[in-house]
Amino acid sequence: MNMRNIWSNNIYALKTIFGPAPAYGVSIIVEAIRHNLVNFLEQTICVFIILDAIEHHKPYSLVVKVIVLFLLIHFLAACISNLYEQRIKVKYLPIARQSLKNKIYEKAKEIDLVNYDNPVFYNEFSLVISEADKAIERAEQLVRMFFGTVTVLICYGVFFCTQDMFSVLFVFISFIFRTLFSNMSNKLRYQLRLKEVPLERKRDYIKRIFYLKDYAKEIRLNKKVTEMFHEQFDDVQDELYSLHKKFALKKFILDFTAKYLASDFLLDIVYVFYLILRASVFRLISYSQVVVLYNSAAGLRRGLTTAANLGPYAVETSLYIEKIRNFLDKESEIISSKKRDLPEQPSVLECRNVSFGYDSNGMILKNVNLVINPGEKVALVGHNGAGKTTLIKLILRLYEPTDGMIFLNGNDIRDYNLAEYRNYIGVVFQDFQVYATSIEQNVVMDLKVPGGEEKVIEAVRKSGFYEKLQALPNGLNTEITNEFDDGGTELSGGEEQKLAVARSFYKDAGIVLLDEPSSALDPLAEYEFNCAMNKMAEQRSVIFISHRLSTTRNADRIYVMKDGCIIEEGTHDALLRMDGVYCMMWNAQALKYAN
Amino acid sequence: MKNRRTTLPNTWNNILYGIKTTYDFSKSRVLCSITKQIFLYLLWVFYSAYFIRFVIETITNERPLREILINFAIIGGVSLVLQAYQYICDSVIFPLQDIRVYQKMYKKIYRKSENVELECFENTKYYNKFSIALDGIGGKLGESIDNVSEIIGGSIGGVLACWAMIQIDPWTIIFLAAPLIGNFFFATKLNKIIYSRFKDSIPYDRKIGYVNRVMYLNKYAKELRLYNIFNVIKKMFDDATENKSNLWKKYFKKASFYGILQYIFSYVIIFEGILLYGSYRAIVATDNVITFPQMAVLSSVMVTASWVWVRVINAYNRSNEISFIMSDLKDFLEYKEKIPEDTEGLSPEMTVKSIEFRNVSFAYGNGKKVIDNISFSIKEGEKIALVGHNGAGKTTIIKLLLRLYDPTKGSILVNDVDIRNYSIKAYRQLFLCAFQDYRIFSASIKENVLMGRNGTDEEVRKALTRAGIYDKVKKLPHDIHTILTKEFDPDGAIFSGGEFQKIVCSRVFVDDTKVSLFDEPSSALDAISENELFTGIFNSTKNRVGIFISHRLSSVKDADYVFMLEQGKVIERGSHKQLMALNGSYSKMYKVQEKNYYTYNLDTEVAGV
Repeated sequence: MNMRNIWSNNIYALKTIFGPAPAYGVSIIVEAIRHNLVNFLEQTICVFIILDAIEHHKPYSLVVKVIVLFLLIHFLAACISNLYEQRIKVKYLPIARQSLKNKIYEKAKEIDLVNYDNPVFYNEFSLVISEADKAIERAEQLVRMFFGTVTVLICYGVFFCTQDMFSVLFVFISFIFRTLFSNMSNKLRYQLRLKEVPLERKRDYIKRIFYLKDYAKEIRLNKKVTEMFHEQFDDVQDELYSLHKKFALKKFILDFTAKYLASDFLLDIVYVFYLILRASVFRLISYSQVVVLYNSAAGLRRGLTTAANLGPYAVETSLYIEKIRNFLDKESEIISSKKRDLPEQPSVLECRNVSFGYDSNGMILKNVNLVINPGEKVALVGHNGAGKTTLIKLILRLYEPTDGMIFLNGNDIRDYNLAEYRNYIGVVFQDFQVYATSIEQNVVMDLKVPGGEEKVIEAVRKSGFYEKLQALPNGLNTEITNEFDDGGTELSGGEEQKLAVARSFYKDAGIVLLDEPSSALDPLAEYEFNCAMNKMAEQRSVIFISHRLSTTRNADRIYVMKDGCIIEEGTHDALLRMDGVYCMMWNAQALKYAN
Repeated sequence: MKNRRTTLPNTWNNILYGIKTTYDFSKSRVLCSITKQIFLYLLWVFYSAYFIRFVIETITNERPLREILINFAIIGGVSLVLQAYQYICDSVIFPLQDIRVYQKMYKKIYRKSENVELECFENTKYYNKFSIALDGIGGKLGESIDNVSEIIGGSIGGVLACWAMIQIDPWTIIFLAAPLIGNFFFATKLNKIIYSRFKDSIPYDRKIGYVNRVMYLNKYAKELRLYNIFNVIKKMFDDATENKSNLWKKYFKKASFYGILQYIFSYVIIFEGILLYGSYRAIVATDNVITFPQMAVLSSVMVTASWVWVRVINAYNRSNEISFIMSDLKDFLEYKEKIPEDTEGLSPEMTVKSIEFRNVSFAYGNGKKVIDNISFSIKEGEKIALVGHNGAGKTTIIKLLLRLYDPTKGSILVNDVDIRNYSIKAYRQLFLCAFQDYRIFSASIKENVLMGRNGTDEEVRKALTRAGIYDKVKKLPHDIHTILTKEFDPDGAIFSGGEFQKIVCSRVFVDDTKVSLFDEPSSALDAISENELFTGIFNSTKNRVGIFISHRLSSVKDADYVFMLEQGKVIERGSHKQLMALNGSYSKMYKVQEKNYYTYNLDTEVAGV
């Protein structure tokens, strides 16, 4: 990581505050200066004036005047500090956070879905989102540290120069050595951390096993399975112990030198010795100067601590920001290239030689050819992992094919406006989500669309959710899930499914993709779902994914998939006659119902 | 948190508990911490009170250079040693000992969490306490020691600092009252206001947290792209931010009042006051005059004294927080289990010959009856199916049989002995289960199948074959020794949901003498795999009792008995034929599923032809 990068990243960090909330940024600066300036004035200047007055027998009225002045300074300082803490910070911090988060969110919803399957990317992504607030915190801390340091160095620096030039030398030497050894110490810490992290991950995994309720049952039913983990836990701890032991001596030497020898020892012992020499042996400074210089050394020492930490802090901040910027700069492959208008009439959807895979030796789909004509019902069946769901995602343009193309109405689907294209196709996934908002918004999946309430109710009716809707106190405006309200309305699994289906009815798309739910539903609920599906299939082109086979009987065409290829194709009866894989699957399920 | 008893004896009991626990784990951690803090504060007070006086006296009394050097050498030497001790503690002793303390503490916690009954994990109140104890405890033991040490060291230092002030002029002590009032009184008021503001912000923070989750969790990613739900989420976020931002208005006036007063009392009065008073005594007063050296000392020691006492008070306030955590830990570790997992008892026979439920009822803590007076019996070798709507009580029956819960009424007998008389460890060995909410561990396939039991590689392979997954396992680089999941091994194997399910089913196939329990074993499987699985289930030894729950009624047909449950009661029981003849709820359910595979004319149409 080079200097230019670090600098640019830190400027970016500052912009996260100064951009959306400049008042906040300025107030941090003012507060940092205030804090250090007032401390300096009081502990150094004020004390100096008074001690000097006593040493040189100046009148008491002088002391009183100085004190009154400082009372005023303090009152002003208190007001400034209060304004910052209780008003500016409270008002603007959420706004600064919002601005950065909004940028990240906009990007998050745009990046290609395929990135979520890449664990390296996904980890970084989760980190960026969960630590975005930290970036703002760090920016604030950075500003505070910088301006605090500058204030301290200027105040004390000038003071020392006016009182005793040589003192500056001590300060300078202390700073150099301190920074040098601090840097070495930080590098060491970083190495230690790198080695610690994988061990801590293992330790946290073991912790999860013992405390998440997900594992509680397994542990009780298989009493000996935990022995393995107890052993692993001890091993991890022992390794951590040896690791720390290895680093201990070096850490001690570097920290001791940096924080004590180069700092406290130099300024408290050696420097004071020097002051005594200057005062009593050389008689170059007064006694009040000695006292004040001694006190100031302490104040300066604190300031230098911050200064020494500034560099490493900026480097660490740069790492955080780098992640955020990398994420925001990520480009999408899935874009609308020509923004063609979508067809008005129901059209043909065709997959031609479509292949997809994350890398060349793990192709999930191989040369798939599929056609669905307007009003047709097409079924995809096959083993788990045969590629059915992936094909659906390709049709929805959530993924881009590695090879081959998909056509709608004879045109490459990449030519269409992406948002409009996705709106043109309806889908019901098995892993749909419900959102902590009103029923209406859960159906419309957008902010309120004016004049659309009848349309929503119509969709709810068709999906079979209407009965439940009538039982709810606030009807369409009922907020669901107990995310924000422990007593909130919770829907059962079957009811949620009907709500999700209502989305597709509302969307009223010409083509609908239905991914059949796996059997979280009992037979009656499953039956009701199938009825709703059948209703959806009226007057639309539908692609069913199914492995229950009960729904595929009536399809116009069934595609049987295995290991990413289409191996059989035809109507239900034709496939049974073929006596192939489909026939085998059908018999496996249906035969059992025979008497 | 506000309702907690924060009485003094309570707080100190809890803290002492924390200290004693840590002391048992590592004496050095405790003793070093206390001594380190005492030395630190002594040094601090020495420097600000006595050293200054020494320096000035040295100058004013014009000591010879040699004497100055010797004195400095001694002071420097002692400081060096004491400070070195501090850094050794911080860099060496504390990190190493914290690892040991962590290790021993968590071993205790893990053993306890293994031993409590399953209901604790489902009881939110206990579970929350447990998670807090577990999550927080890592560094908190060390923190609690350091906190107490700070109070001890700080008090000693504070007293010495005050004594130094009194020696100069006893009246200066009064000024110390100001920072105390500032912190005890005004700061507390200010904190209450800030806490109220914080509480007001909680609902907004919840919304912000929710929005964050929706934007990054994988499960929402598809819908964010397929619909415009982002608009809804964004508005939620923007609204919450605006509301949070506007909170300053409500509290500003009051917070300012107390905030400014706190500042003045804590920092200004003591400093300005002592300077004013001291210089009066030095310049104006004619008796009890304060000399210059004394004034110098006074100006530096008063700062130290107020800082030290502020730190002691802060440490004291923190001890409340620490006390709560220790109290949770104590409650957790001293909880009396209802069904301790290490219950000793009779050893059951190796095989289960009979199972009987006698008038069993069960309700969770909140009183809702999940099982209502169920009685049935199962004999050796029988295969039983439990069917019914979701929530009818099927899984609960299995959990009761496994003694994960105890019935609220009635009893369960296995081999004619009430299962409460058996040693739990031995009793659980009789069963092998495959649950719908299974867990796969980040370990080898063999370990995931055997789950701690003894077994040979061959037995594992046979079981995997029966479950229909060995074909895939065979192709893996390390066969059954391949690690599952990529949690710790980048070469770890990732299976699909259905494939994991087959591995879980293998757990049951690995030993044919045990009772097999299946709860929805085929939910993620395709038709052929499902068929293979159930064939495997029914091909088990004739002498083995098997109980399974499934929504796929076609697989239920071959069971010896079917129990149909509704709202915790067995409403129909018998073989598939008998229940179909009854023409009741079971028959209705079956026909509904079957209909999908037939046309409507049941008499003439036969499947597949």
